[in-house]
Amino acid sequence: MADAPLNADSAGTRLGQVGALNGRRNVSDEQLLSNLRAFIAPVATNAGAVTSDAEVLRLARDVSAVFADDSQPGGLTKAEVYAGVTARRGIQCDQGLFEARFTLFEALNLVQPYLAKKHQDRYVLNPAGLAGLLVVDRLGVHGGVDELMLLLDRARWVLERGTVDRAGVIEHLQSCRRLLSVYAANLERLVETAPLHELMAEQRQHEHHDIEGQVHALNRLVTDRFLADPELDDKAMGLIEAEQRYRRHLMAAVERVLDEGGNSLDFNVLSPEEYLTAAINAPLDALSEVGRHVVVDPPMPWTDAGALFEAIESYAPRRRIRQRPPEPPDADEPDPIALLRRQHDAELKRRRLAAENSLQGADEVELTSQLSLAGWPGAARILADLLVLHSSREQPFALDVGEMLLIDPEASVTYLHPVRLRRLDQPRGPDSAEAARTVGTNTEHPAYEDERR
Amino acid sequence: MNSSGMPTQRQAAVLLARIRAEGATAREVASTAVLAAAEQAAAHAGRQVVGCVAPVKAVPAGPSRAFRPALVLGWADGMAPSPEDDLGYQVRRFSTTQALAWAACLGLAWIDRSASPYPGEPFRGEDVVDLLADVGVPSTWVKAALNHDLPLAGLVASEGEWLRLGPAAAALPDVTVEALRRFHDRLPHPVGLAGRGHPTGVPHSNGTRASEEDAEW
Repeated sequence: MADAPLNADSAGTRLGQVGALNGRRNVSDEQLLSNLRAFIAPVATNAGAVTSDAEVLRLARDVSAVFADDSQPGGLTKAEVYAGVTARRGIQCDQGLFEARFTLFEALNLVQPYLAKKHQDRYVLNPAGLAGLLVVDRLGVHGGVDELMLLLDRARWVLERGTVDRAGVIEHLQSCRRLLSVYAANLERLVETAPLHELMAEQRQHEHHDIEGQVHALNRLVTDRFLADPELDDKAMGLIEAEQRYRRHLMAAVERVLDEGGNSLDFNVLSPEEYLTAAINAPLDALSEVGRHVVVDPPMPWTDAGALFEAIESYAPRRRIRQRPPEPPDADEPDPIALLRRQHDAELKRRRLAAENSLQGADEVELTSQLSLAGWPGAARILADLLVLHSSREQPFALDVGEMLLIDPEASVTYLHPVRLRRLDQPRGPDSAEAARTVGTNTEHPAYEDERR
Repeated sequence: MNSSGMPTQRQAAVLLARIRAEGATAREVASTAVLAAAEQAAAHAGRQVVGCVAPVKAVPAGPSRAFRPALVLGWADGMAPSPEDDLGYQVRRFSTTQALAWAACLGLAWIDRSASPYPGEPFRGEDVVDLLADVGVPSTWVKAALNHDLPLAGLVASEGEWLRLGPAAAALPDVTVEALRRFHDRLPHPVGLAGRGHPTGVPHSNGTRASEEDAEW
């Protein structure tokens, strides 16, 4: 892995959560790459063997993911891998960087040709490379402490299954002891010399590990299986002593973090989860001590000039504008209002035609005899129609009803006044019935002659 | 040590705690020595003890709150926080109508731009309601702000039928006052002062005129 300048975005965010298992990271980019350098050191050929560019590591992760997720029979071509990386990121991948890294991956056997012959362009991923990325994940989450847990767990596993001989047990115990001793020495150094934030970062990596339980369980297994074996007893005791030393320095680290962090009121001493756990589970007396010497003001609203003038400038009163609900879609049901209007128009038209028929083109006509001949109730219908036309101001008709009363007991129309129909030059004006038509009522009223004049 | 038996430093701490808890504390509860010690302690924390006139009680069983010289906790020069600039923490803020009510109170009380806004002129609640009704603010919301939100924050204090700027207005940071002064003309103002119908300087219940001199001690 060639050197390249450390590449971070302008916002200072960690690039692509490199080394993150499930996207969660407890170490910074710098710490992760430092851990990687220490991790690779046993097999490195020079000090520049490990890149200092987090983008390089992210590209390796993306390439591995493409091979794992988009694998096809016969492998993938370089172009297909590039397209897969671009699709995963959602933006175009740096072509030059991709070409350079893919060439290196091929040289270091991370990607292997599908067929071992010249000029073939399809590749597969070496499983060892993917395993290496998983190790990087663990270095990114807990800085390598997980390796200690894995070592202890593996030692217990082989002992429980009886798949290891005495020499193998001794080797396992020694490996665990050495790792614990190194961690203990590192913690001792950090407690004595490291700045608070560095100590806090290191201390967090050792959280949530039951190393003490694992060591004691391993010790019991050794004692049970290899009874009265002084050498193994000695190795197991050495492991316990190493664990005690490790735990002692870890507690010293915690004490220093709490003392210095507490005095400086640095709330980053605890993680949000720890605050929540304390709030739920801690005793009331302990919680009441929190902030005992911290002075606070009552939580009054903060007033600043900018917010005040912004409220003045931007205020617009809320007006509730009532909007009609949307009209329902056209249904198959007939519109009763429209039907009434059509009927009204048809009736009016019929009356007008009847009146015109009576006038026969003249401007006025005497209708008394017509009414008499129409009988009853015909005369009533004719008269009613004529009265409607007379009362309608939009119709150019007027009906004059005389005061004289004509009585004929023998006729079908016994009582009759002289009736004369006149055509007017123009309608008298808007009809009140027209206005009422919009609400579907007919407000026409027959008007008598004395009222008209 | 003094007649109460408590060390002066301890009394100064109690005084500062009392001011924080009450919003404003009567000046007469603390001796000059205790006040000096409290000022010194406040300065260490970037605060300062500001004199004002506020409706406070001198003793717990004393008479109803009357305007008297009082103490409120303000910010030392250059030490006021600016949560509007620093997005690292959230603070509670007024709603739009509460802010408008406060702006209207400022506009009615702070007539002379060149002078300090506090103590300002007394004003009536209905003037605030009328002023904001012109811009469409519902009167119920304005009254709620005048009767509850602004007095609770110490920005407005009631003196009978009149209102005045409260002790929190006396403790406004200088930078806030300067910003308000710069845009003083944008504060809601009534059209002409003739219709306000109140004399300048409404007398306090103790008979002294409300003026900046009352705030000095």
